[in-house]
Amino acid sequence: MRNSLQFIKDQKDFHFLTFQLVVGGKVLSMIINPLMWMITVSYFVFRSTLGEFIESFYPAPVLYMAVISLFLGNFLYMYYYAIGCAKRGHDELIKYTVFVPLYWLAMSFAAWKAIYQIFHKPHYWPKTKHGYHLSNQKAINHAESIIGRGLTDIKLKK
Amino acid sequence: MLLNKFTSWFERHLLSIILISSLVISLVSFFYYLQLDLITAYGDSRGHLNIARRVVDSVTPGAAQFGGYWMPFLHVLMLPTIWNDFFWQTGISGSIPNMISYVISVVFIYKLVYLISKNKFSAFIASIIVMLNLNLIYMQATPMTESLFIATLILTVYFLYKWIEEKHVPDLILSALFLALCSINRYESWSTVLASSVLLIINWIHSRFSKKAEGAFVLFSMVAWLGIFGWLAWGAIIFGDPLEFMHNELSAGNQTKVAYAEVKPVGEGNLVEAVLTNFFSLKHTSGMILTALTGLGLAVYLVRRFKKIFHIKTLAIFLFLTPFMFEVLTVYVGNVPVEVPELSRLNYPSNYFNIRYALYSLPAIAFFVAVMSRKKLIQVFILCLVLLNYFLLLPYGSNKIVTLNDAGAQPATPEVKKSLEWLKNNYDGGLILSSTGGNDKHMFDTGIHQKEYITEGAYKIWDAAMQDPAKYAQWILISDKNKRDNAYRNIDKFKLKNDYKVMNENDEFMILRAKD
Repeated sequence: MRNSLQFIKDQKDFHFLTFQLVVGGKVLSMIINPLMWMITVSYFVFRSTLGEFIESFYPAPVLYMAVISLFLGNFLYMYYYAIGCAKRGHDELIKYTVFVPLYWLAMSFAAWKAIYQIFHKPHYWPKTKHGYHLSNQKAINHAESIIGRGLTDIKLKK
Repeated sequence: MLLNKFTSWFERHLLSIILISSLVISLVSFFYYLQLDLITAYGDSRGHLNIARRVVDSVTPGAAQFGGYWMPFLHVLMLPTIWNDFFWQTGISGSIPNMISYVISVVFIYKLVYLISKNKFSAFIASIIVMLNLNLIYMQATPMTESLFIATLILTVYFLYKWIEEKHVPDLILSALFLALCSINRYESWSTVLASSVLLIINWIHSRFSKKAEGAFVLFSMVAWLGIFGWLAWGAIIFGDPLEFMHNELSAGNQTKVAYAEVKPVGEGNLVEAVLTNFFSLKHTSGMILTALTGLGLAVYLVRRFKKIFHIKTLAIFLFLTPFMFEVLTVYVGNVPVEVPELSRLNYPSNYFNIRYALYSLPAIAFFVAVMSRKKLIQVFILCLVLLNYFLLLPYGSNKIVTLNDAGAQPATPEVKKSLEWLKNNYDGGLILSSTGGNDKHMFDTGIHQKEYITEGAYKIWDAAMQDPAKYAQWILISDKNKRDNAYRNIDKFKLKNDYKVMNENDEFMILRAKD
């Protein structure tokens, strides 16, 4: 995407568009997410004053899609995590999937922070600190049993 | 030799035979009731058809027309056909999902009992009990919610039990999904949702708080409660009140208050009477022999499973009993009265009013009778008793199909007939202002498209029309006797008198037309 024209040339058919929707759309949805929640909450809390104004943005076809996305979409997205946990045998984690919307909130916060940083610290890269799990001997044993040899970078835990 | 060959062939093809038999019974009974014009005999059936129709044919079409007191599952299933006048006016639109539900019920009660007992004869008895119930056969031909409820309840228990046996997560999710669908069909199933969650909590405790059982509880409950929370959210979004279904003036509770203003409903505040009412309902809808056999079967089941009473396999079957308990509770509270001839004080509206609710216990009856014994001789004896039971229920002499009797108990009064005939013959276009409360027969039988009516569902247009009717409506259909007629209660009477002339009037209804 640094060289968009070349990227378009390299792709066939609608791959460019698909890429934008899948990768860019995901980031965009994180940015839009808080706004949508604000509108939803405002609609119910301030229905008598703001209700009609908000309704004017939702003609019938848009309203149906929006309501289905709000309830069924959000639920299914959350439920996929639950099914994923069950399929992988992480039954103890299933109950925590109900908190997935909070994770989305955190993702939205990160997205807005990134936008802020584009303007104020464009060359700053808040690198993720890895290796916290190495403070847990059980995790080390598990990793070593998978790769079949000892970990080399145990130092990180200090 | 030949008999052995036939028996072996019969056993191998038993499920297909059951499927085809139920399909034939469903179709034959449907056409039988259609030619007798009894498909829409229940007043409520016309209400269901009109609600679904208004989603696509209304002054303000759309999902909001599903309304807030009857839940929408059946209406959603009608949508593919209800737009067509033939499917709407004959009621077939609502019969199709119910007929399919009937076949599913027969097939899956067989599969459930076979899954549990591993005995084909027991499974066969269970399917016969569901298949030959004349009241269910009538109800499955109508646009009512009973058949759909029974099918989703059986599917819920079947997939739950399959999950218990095989531990496949998709079965657990399917069970929860069918329960969620059941819970947006009839309020009785809300007790089943609650009971199923309690059941999985007991299973969790019983498993000494295992993570597997905890995960199953969360995975199941997330979907199972979806219908209930969805319906509450619907009430909040459309009507600004999550409990709209209780507060709506057409709700069961409020209608009961109006209908039983003078006399207390049978069983209200009297638990023994409430239980007896439901017991007699069972007797009338499924027969005395089957009711007695169910009691015996339940006792045998409890004794047999006594040592494993808190095991999920034992408790899962008790989900079939939740609708019965719910009915006892609602009769006791006085919210939804049921009338049986043995106890009725009022003969209102019929001696069998709401007796159809006892059909929700049919899966329980089928199960407890079918699994009572594994001995072939006793099973043959039970099958003979079941057949005798249904033979004795056949409608001859003083016998009647009680649900059909209840449906026909409120025939249109001469006043209703006269006014709707007049409207049918003289309507020449223009919008008709009419409340849906009690006027479903007019709105259905005249065959006038729903988009020609301004009803409460038209919201802002309705409110505006109450203030200045002549601006919106060419016609007004109104009743000063009907307590549920919102138009009469709320309309500006001065403008009504000034701007309209009476075209047809009788003791119940008035049809007015705007002055030129």
